Amino acid sequence: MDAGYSLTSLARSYGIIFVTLVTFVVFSVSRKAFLSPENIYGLFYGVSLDLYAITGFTLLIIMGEIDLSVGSVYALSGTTAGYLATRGFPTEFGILIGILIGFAVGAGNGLLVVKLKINSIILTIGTLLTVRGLSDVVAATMAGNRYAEGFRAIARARFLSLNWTVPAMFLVVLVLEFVLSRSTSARVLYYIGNNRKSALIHGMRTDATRIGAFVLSGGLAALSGVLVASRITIADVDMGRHLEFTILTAAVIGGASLFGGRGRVVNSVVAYLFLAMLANGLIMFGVEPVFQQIIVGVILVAVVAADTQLNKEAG
Amino acid sequence: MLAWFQSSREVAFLLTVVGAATMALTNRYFATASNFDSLQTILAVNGMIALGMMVLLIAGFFDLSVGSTMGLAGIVCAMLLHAHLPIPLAVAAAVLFGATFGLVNGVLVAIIGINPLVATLGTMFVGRGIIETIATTQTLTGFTGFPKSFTDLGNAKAGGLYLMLWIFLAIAIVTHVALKRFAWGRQFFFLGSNPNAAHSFGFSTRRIISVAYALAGALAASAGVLTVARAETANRYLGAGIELEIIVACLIGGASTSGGRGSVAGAIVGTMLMALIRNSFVLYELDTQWQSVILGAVLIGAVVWEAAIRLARNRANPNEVT
Repeated sequence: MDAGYSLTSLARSYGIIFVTLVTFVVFSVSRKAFLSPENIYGLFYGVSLDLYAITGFTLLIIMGEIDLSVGSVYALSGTTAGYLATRGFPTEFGILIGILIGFAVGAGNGLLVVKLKINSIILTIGTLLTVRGLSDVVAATMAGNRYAEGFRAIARARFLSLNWTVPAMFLVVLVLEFVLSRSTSARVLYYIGNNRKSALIHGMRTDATRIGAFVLSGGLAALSGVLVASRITIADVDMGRHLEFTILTAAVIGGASLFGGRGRVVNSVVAYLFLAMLANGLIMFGVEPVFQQIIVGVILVAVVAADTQLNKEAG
Repeated sequence: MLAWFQSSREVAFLLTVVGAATMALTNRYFATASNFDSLQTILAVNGMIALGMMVLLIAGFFDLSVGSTMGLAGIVCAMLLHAHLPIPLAVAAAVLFGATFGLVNGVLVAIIGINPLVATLGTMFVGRGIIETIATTQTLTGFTGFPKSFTDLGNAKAGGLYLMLWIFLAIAIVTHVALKRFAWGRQFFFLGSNPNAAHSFGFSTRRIISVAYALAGALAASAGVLTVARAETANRYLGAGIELEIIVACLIGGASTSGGRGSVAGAIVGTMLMALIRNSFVLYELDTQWQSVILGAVLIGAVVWEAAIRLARNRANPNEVT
């Protein structure tokens, strides 16, 4: 292992944290409004709601699979949960149904991809379209009405004068980081992502694990969707649109590989925070939101190009 | 008989015929001149993009940025016409622009080695962003008021059919002959069926992939130019979201996501079936939300169908390498 290789792996593991800190400092020094406690808190609060969808997506990408339906599941589950609560069902019932929808879509994705050996990108594009349509049907039924009071309170509940999701985020990330780096059963995800055949020969239950990861990804996207629907208070047809692409970008610039075997939840979350911070800071510099699409696209391609190049050099 | 049904292309053809007959019988607006006009122009535009996507799928790749290329090329053409450039020059520049955009995808995928999903997703974002930037800074008058000889490209008819449909059919025939009769075209199939073998046999895989992407870009750009000529205006929504519809059309037309399979006839049949589905949404006044549900279901149905056939074939010949 030469110095070049360890520098590469260092960049992969901590590069995104470094870049995020630098961006934070640059924005803080140059724009007063950026460093205000409300703004910073708003950024963290936003990420703390999407955290679960990011986590599920990252676990799948570690195994070399992809779920592009997360944004649609997020919208359908959130809107349905809110709709049921508003129609007079108990809030808990709405949440339960919302999350069950996520598990069900995830199970459908997982079974089809694993049992029929279908390319997960193409299949989940199909699920993306179908579930998005269903979510638009529910959103149209709500017709811009506000969700019930009890439902709106979920994302607003406080813990130590913070929204509970913010401390929960730190706890979840810490626990996940500990489990994924220490536990042997979690290492299975990486083995499957690196070499599925070899993982199978070594006695790992690759099929069951892959289906399980799809189910989890659906359920976690649903959980994030419910929290976000509760926060935005009214049914919104644009909820979660293109979320899959933002999370994919975050996972990739956080060091995950589309070929599997690499990626860390904490890095994806930091990268997602970085993208949110970039959008937030660039607006303060007067950069049009439409122009930010270009920036995200260039960052995505540039990071993957650099990573591919480093991979070639490392052998 | 059973073998005939194993190809999704033939099934799609059958569905198209049955679907068209059903619609003609149950909806009095289906068999009208204006509806056939709209079906023709959809077939010409979407079919052109599908041809490029089909060649990419045959070679084992795909392109999510075709919608952005289509929109950008349409706007480029509109801006050049507004600057009083001669029509042939403006059209050629727009198509060349599309080919260049495609070539960038080709370089990212073939030379740098980026996963096609990520590379073309990135260029899709960039292209869409540029469109939005232009649209917010330009006044809308820049995108209308074209000379008549340009709008004729999208509205004139010859022999009862639209000029743009004739253009599409000509390109389709050339592509079909190139793919079937010439070694140059067969190399796309060879690469898609067995990339490693293609490389070992000394094929320049990088060049093949780059050419396929440039071709897809040029065809998407042509579709954009024709749409602008047909609508007599260019706007920021041109081509938005069309990439998924085109991929679905190719898959139900017999292409495979694992490469090596597909045909020009398949691209046409798939595009026709998709155009018919879209048409039925309009004629039966279906809510827009359900359109997405049905498109997604068709895509899932197509890939599940393909997978079921593939698994059945593997079970029949377990030694065949897939």
